[in-house]
Amino acid sequence: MQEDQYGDYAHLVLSYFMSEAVCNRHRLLAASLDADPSKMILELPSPADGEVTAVRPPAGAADQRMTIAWRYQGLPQQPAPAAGRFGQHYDLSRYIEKSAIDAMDISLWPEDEPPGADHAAASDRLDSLLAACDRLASGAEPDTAPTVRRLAVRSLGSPLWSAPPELVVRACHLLRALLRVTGAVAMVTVPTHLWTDEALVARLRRCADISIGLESFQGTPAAQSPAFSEYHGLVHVHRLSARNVLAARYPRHPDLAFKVRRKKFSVETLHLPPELSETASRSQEDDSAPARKARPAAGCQAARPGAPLDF
Amino acid sequence: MFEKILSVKPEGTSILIIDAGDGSYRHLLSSYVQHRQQQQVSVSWVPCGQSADELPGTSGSSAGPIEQSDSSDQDWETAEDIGRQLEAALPLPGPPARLLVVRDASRLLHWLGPTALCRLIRRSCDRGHQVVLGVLEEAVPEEHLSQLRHYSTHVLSVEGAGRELTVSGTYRFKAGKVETATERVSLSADLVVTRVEPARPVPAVPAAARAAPAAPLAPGLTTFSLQLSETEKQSRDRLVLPYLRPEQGGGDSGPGTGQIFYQPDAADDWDEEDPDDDLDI
Repeated sequence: MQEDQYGDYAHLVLSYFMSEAVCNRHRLLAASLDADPSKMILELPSPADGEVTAVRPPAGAADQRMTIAWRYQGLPQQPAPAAGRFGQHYDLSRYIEKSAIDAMDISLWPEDEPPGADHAAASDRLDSLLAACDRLASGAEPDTAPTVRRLAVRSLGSPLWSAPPELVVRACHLLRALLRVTGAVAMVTVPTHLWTDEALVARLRRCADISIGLESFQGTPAAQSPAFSEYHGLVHVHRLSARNVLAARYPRHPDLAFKVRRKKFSVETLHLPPELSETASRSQEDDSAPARKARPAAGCQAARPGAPLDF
Repeated sequence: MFEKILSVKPEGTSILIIDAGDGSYRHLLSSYVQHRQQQQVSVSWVPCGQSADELPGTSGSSAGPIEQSDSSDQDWETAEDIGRQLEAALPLPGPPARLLVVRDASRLLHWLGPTALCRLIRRSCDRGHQVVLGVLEEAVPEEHLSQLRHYSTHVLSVEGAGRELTVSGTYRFKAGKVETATERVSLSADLVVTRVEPARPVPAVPAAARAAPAAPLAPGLTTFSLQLSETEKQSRDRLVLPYLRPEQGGGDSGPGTGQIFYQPDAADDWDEEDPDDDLDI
């Protein structure tokens, strides 16, 4: 995901991704050099319609006597689905409780901050991140049911990484190869607006299965425009996954805008609002008053010039 | 807007002051530091090394190693020395909040690169302190400047000479709101902000214009066009509607009168006789 100029909305989407991991009890790796990963996981938005509990609610009792479906009494119990409800609304004003976070299997990167880490080479730092991703994605769980592994990397390739964009592109390519063989899923936000080479940005997009860019209206003239008054920014879909299909299905309308509410992050097709003003479309005619006077009188003309019935 | 950043709590924020080339940003920076000192905030000055005029690429530059500055407690010979000084200048986390001042960040950018400064800004803000940096726009590549802007809460671009400054700022507040403003800031002889006013007076907007989307938008935001270009406006004004005919020998009939122009064809019986004349009722 290409970050917006100030990164606020991209980080918000990443927090949704991590909250989804917590709600569905997936294994999670949170990685960032720009923010403290331990603070990232403590500030995850809570689901809007319920609380995330530390203990999974117990399944129905197996020794209930069935009176109607008695033929199924002796059949073995099906294992409960590992995932909870997929796709939820989150309340930005509440965080997930710390007890629920502590009960989760969440890994952080970097785990600690030794004095020499700041001066480590950029390639070593990226290799360390990939190694952490590999440990999470490839780790076996003999005692529990297999679950989805999620990797959340915030602001990869920011100035704190001191890595040239070529190394970042290489790291993303290696990460995708890792995800192919392990079945994990990763969301990586990259501040590409700091990159000067557009060719590298294009290469980065091709290193991901899904590439989306967010463009916020913060601090731009578009924020004052009535056309964009309902929205907070634009969504650019650069690439969609075409795995196991002939071609990816792109949205019919390429102009997408997003708006953020307390309990909802919605992406909608951008369309022109209805024209309610009587004078907006007539401004050019008012400017060309001499031209209007030269126009001959027509049959369908109102008594007062400039009236709404004139056409 | 500039008065707002003087009044709000500065903990965890950073201010980047970019000078357009007159060197006048120092007055604004000193004024801000003085304002914070009056609020009983501890101020730490980060050592900056050589003067900007001696940087390679500028006139009068020196390609030798870093020379010792006029501060008696600085003993630099390499960029690593500056890096260590920078690490030592980082305050510990926790209250009271301190103000870190980098008088001339362009020097540090030259010797240490943008990563060290960005790390300084990030760590200081995470620990609840404030960082103020001044940088000369001419002495710094645009790429480095954009990276500093990325980590700065408020970015001020200063123009002007003396104590009458024009400050163009982008201000980010905690709620995520971003505002831009261009203001004239006047400083007194002792560097106290005496007056802040908009650079250009805001005209009264009539109601009709307020309803119209008159603000020009950057092109390329959407795949459809929201505004007309000048050529398109002229083409629309020149368009003659098909049911209008050009004037035929006569002036404007004036409003309120209607004329119907009928062109009879060969099948029409167009004469002045009364068609009911031969009725025998």
